[in-house]
Amino acid sequence: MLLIKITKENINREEVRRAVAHPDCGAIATFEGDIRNHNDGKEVLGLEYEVYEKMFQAEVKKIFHELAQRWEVKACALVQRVGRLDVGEAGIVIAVSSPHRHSGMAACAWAIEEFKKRAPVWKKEYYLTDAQWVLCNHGGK
Amino acid sequence: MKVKLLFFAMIREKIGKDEVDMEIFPGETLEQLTQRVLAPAFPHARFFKSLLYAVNEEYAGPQTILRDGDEVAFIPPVAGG
Repeated sequence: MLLIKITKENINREEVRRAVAHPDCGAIATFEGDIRNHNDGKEVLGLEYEVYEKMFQAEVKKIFHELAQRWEVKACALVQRVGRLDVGEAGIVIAVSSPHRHSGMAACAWAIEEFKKRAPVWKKEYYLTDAQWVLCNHGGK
Repeated sequence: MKVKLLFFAMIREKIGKDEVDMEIFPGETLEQLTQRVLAPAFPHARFFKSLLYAVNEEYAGPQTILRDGDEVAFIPPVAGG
């Protein structure tokens, strides 16, 4: 089971967790990426996320399919926020359910690393006096 | 032959549009199209070193030959998560 969603609203963290819950699974691993109030020594007031929506769906599906070939997992969910966010809000929530904890935790950790490298998502940080697009190394393929 | 170009993030801001339709030459590659479209707005070579491309929602290399109706996205460094 896959849930892949882009939303302009606050992410309902519990809903993402519930989407992967299954009686076969004793473990649900989650990653919640919250907006931090600083970066590179600058105070951050908020963020703006931009997404290439059609490609986002396709790329996250690929990541989850690769994940299912590497680890024993039952279900995966990923919700990405777009638009303006304040400090403390979640930009992304990922949940993975698995029969046992080790595979779920490893799969969830792998998923966020791949997502950061491959998903067509951009973020602009807003500071007290200016704003800039965050430049991360990407590894699209 | 026409393709649709999609611009995101700092490219969208610099170009001032999020998409345009553009005529291409027969056999034109992504790299050639990029030079034609983006080089005037982005004079620094280092910008192009960090640029990736997608054609029809899949990552594609700079030597990809474009076809009529393709949707081309210029992908500046991503920063999800």
